[in-house]
Amino acid sequence: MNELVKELKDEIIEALNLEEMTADDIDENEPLFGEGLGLDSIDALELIVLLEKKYGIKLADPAEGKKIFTSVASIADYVSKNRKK
Amino acid sequence: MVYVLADNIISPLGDTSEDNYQAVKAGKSAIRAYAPMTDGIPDGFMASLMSADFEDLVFRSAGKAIEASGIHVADDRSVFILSSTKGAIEGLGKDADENLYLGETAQRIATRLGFTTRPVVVCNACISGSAAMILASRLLQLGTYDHVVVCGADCPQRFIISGFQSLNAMSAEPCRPFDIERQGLNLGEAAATVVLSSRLPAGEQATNKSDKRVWTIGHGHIKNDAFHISAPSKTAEGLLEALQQTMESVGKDDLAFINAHGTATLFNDQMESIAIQRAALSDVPVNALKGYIGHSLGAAGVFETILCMKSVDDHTVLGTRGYEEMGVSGRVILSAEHSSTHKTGFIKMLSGFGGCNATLYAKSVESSSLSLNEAKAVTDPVPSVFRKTYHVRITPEGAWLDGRLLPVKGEPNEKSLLTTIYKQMIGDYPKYYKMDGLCRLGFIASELLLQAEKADETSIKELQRSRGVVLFNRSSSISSDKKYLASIADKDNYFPSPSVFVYTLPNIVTGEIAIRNGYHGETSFYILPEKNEEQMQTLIQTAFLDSQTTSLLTGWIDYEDREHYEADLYIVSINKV
Repeated sequence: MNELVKELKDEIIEALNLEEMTADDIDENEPLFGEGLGLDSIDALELIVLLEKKYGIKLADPAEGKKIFTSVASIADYVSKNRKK
Repeated sequence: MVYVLADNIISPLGDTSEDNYQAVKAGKSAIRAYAPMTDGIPDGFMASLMSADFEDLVFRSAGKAIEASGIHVADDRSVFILSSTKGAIEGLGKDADENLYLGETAQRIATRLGFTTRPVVVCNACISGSAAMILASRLLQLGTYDHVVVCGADCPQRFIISGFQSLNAMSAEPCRPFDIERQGLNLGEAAATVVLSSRLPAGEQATNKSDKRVWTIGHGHIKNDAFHISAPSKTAEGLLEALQQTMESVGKDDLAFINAHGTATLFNDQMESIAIQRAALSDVPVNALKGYIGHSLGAAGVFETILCMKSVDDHTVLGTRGYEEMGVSGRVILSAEHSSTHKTGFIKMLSGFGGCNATLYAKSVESSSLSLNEAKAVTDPVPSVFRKTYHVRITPEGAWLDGRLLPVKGEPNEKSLLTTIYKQMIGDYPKYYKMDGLCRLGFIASELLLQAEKADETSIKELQRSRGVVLFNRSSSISSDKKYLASIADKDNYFPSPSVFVYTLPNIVTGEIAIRNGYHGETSFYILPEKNEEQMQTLIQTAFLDSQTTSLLTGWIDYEDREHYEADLYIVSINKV
């Protein structure tokens, strides 16, 4: 799981073009949206693309993403249960 | 006063303004379905397209309007303003970058049309068309030019269409502005031109015919939401501000209608309805024209203003095609059917990414009622005393504040200069990491300027109303353009990136600065063929014709890549009497 968390942090940094940010700058239990990094609905779309591209997970309903994308830890949990690749 | 001498529209509905108006009046729409793999885009979409060559399209539309106006453009009293969000971007990767730069494109078109002055490109996302007409009217008011030709155009193909798809902003059916079931927008391709002048068309003043009318435009304002780079303010702060300021000079009884942006996205139409209600304009009819022509981006402001002028000449309030059932919470009057009017003015509204909003008033007047003096009057001379305070310059070699090199510690190779400055001197805005290069550069430069300014709390509050952000460059958003193109270049690895696509609009940097500082004043982005202080000064002056604006964060900001960038920003203020 820890490996997946680290991988996800790197993938998120890459997908959201958070250039020069490092995995250590993200706390996997902190909220991703609103506070802090302040991700928004467009970033959510970007994360949906990431899930499809990297793990073969297709989220048909963007609203589904809301719960999944709460934190890096919650994404890791969802990916480990639903990944196709 | 600023007069409309002539106009032209080229769209899938026709090659003249009249053809376009008659098609719209007959209820026609050019929006149609495009099959999957059109232009190599995997999913099908609905749009109103022509597949024209951008430069050729602008040249044809502007050429026709200039010819109809009878003006001579080959002197220093005439200028060409191009309004476009992405210009010839679809050639990216196939043509040399420089050839695609909007300033160079505008220069080639202007030269071909016979202009001898330097053109300006207004690149303010979806409000570009209105912003360009506002700039033109201010240049005429100041007496800088006698004639301004404004052409708005965009030619959406693979780059732009895939981007709007990635934002989930496109409707799978013809769009339905303000309707409860609206799902988003359809893109439209068009070029639209107006020839504006501070002088009445030759011979018009002498005429005694009472039915001879001429269109005037003015009282335009640009205001920022200071809320989000792509989502409009839920309380419509920027649009409300612009509307209220326009209404200070306009009588509500003169308004035949308000022509909304009406993109048919959930958030835009909702926001517009809130602005109209909050401005106490709920009893003025509202219409939106995207159901006939799609969202023509940089052309929209000019295109829709011309259609509205034609409809008022025809004593008609055009119906909103696609509208059936009210789907917004602000109180507005809308109808799918045309209705008749004898009023002679209207307000055009637009809103766009970067949080910008524009309002512009147009009114038809009897030319015989205008005296010769009035016809020549130049209003509102701007005080020419500018105070230039604080100056920041940043290049990959270093950062200078008022000429002093900033001491930046640390390993220069580890992080870029911009991020090093962010960590050492700012550090409290993690959103910095989300920005593209152009926005990072603008953000850092503006932060350094404002740290030097050290405004107290009262002045900070005051600046949120009175400060505008007006920036210039040459290469638009080339760095993000390339990055976005890379996300759609490969057929087997096609994942268009919505967050990068947003940054392919260079005016986003003005929005980022407005959001950070709560600035609701004007935000404008201009692209020039090259960095030219004299031309920039002329354009900066126009911003002060907005009576609320007393200072600007302004200057040159160009970002090609990590090794090639330059910010040369300063604060300019005036003392208004």
